[in-house]
Amino acid sequence: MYDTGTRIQTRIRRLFSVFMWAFIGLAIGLAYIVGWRGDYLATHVRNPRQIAIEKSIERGGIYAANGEALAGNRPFQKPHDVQRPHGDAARRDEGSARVYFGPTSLVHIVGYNHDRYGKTGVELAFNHQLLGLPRGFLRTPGLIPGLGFGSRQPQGVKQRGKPRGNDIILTIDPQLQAVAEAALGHRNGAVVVLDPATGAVLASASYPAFDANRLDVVWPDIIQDPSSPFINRATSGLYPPGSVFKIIVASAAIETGLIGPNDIFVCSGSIDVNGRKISCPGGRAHGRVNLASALALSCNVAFIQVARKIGGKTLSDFARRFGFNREIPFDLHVNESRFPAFRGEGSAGGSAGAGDGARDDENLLAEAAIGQGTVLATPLHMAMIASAIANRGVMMRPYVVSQVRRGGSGETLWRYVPARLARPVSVSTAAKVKDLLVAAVESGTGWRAGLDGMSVAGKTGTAQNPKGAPHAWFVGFAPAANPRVAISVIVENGGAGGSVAAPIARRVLDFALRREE
Amino acid sequence: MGFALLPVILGGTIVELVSRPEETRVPMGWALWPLYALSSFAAFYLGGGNKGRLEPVIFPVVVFLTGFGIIETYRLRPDLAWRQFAWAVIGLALLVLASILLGDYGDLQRYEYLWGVLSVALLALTIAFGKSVGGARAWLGFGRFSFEPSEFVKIFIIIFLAAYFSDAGTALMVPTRRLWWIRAPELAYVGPLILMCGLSFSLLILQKDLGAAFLFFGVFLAMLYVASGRPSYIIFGLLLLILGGVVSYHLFDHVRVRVDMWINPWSDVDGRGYQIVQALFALGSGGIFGSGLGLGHPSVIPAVETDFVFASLCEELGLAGGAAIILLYLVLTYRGFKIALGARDEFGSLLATGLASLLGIQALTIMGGVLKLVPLTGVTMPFLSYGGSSLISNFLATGLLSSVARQGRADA
Ligand SMILES: [Zn+2]
Repeated sequence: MYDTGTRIQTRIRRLFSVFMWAFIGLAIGLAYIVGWRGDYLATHVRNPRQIAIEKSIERGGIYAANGEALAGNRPFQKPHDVQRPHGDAARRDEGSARVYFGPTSLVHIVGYNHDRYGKTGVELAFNHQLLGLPRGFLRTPGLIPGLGFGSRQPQGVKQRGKPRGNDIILTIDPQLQAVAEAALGHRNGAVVVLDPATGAVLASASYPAFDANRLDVVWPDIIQDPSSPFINRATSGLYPPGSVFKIIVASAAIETGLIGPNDIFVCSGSIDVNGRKISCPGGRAHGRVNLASALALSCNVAFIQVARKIGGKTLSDFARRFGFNREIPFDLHVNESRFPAFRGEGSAGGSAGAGDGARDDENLLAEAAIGQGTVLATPLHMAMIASAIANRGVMMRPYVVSQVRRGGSGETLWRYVPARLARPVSVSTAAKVKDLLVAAVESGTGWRAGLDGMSVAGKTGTAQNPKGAPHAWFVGFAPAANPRVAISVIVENGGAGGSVAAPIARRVLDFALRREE
Repeated sequence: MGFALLPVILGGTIVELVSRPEETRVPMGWALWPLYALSSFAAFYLGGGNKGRLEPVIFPVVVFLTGFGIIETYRLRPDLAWRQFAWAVIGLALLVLASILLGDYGDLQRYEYLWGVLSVALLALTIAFGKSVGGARAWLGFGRFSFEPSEFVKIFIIIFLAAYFSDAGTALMVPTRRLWWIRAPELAYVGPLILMCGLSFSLLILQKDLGAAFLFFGVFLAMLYVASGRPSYIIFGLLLLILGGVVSYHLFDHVRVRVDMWINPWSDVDGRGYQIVQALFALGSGGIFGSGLGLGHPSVIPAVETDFVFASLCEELGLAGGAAIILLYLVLTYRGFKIALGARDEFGSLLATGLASLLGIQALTIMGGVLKLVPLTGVTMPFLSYGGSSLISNFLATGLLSSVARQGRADA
């Protein structure tokens, strides 16, 4: 039947219910946008509020450990004839630009803050602190699509007078940084210096770098530069560690007790792994060696035999204990170091007639024992490994931001408390490995890192890679008796670690330890 | 009344206090709020609000929304605040005048065709002599003064349709002959249907006023349903609406842009999608309780003081404030339909239905557009948006509703 019978009142009620549901739908739509999409929209890079809010705050400074300024604000005179263009207030450039002091190589730690090119480094990671805003405010877009609560705009931004953000104090020693930068010179690579007892980053240089004060000028060149000056090689560069990885193999051998100090290996200059010949550096035959002399001479043949005895599974377990295949918590992003996964039980003895899986594992293990193949590590991570040996087997969480202070008053708002990250080996193993590393510098490949009157512990590495000459490594710490600094040096395609990386480490260690004297 | 005005005075004072010294200040800006409060109270007593002559819910809600509209204008375009205040005073005066002079709204019914002719004439004048503002040729100007005739045509059309439908009476509801296989619509309904389609499409094509076209047709369908009780007409009407939409999408560039930017404004963030994306940023940045009045950055949205005032409100008052505004419009619509239910005759019912639908559809389409739930159309927020024509026309609608309400009760 037709609806002609309904009274006009009924129809009015029905019509209203249509309106009511439409209004309810509208309210749900609003709640969805604010609650579920709010974070994304509020922090979207195209949202002009971001810039407007930042412009309205006197950004905090970044300082070195000794109080030297590393980043500050350029004084800016506001023109008097500012006519507020309607609807364009937020997009107007207030002109306050950053100035960076200190060694150029700090650009990878301090970063930059630029209207057009965005933010990097501490300028990015501690942006909210530098602005004095709660952490949730300037979240990266779309990361947390959770229910946002409250306003995403700071209150009091439009107060008369600019509010000040907080100052950031770094652990960086600017003089040491300058020495590290100079020692590395114009060679692609990185130098990282840590305090092994706390995990503080004392210096971190990466080359090539660029001048953050001239970003407008250098930008077109650096984005096209094939050597990628943007990359912080200290934290993001993944390199095969080569013989430096033997520190971990030796630690595993000692900690598990599988290799004693008197166990002898015979080196004929090369070893056959499933038909592949792996040689010692220069094809030299080292003859009869024990663990200590194998490490000092960086004997590949002996270490492959050691690794076979330990087994892939155990070695892999130790690599993990030292931080491979794990996220390294740091104030800036750190790439994860990699250690290969073994398919089955490690090839303890190389059983004949094994399947492809076992054969692959054998190849992997032989390469991993000498830090080649698919083993990859960042220079920061290698410095942490040296620190762990130096610090009686305890690996500290690395950090570069030590304090946040209120802008103006200087009152400390937050102070970093050094924290233990892992304990990869026992105190006694760490002490034994330390002795091996001291020997490696005193009488082994690392002699060029040695300092007069002070014992240095360390290991060189000459990492083969598909991109040409091997990468030169040196990883170590000093003084051996009471380690104050740990260091990691890499020079990309630099050649032999002993002749290229060890002298760089020597120069940096020398400055770090003898300056006060 | 006091409850409606207190937040206005408070809000105005907050905006006054937080606005930055370097921002363009307007002379005597602080005087807006006491003067507005004074005007509202004057209107209340002159209009007989204390004697129950004014609708007890609608009037305070309207006073509140209008007051907030002045705050938003003051906050977004301080230079226009006094002008908006003046329009509000004129609107209040008209409300009072309508309440005093219009003894019986039934008088309107007598000049049934006058309203229809007036509407068509006004629109024809606009099309012939109108000037373009923002792409829509919807304004008639006399020297320095200009107004938007379609804002008034809305009211006239509603009066005309209410009179026409109630005249046609129940006789038209009797099923009549079949035309081929469908039940033929009675000629009484065909006439206005053709008229409204014609009006809507001429608005759309000649004035490029998508919002007004949709609004006219929507109000017409609402009134047609209440008058005829035939869902088949409504379905037919909705089909026509969809067909019209599809056809105009393909025929007219300005419609296509609106729809494309509704589907994906991010495809042209800096160009045609700029406005809607900026509105979404404002909504997202506001959070649940907003930045506080005067502390957000809504001025980055183009046309924020007219079509996008809702986005500004949500940024500074948050989800809570936005939901409160939605609730107020729902209350306004609800009271409108309640008046329609209690009207003394069919003309009154239809008149109130049309006016309530007018307020409701306007609020829904513009808020839905700002929230990107429907394509954006150039409709103003009743009472909140900056603009004299729209404010005065909505005050007229409120006056008429009040009148229907008063006589409904008196006769009951
Ligand atoms: Zn050898």
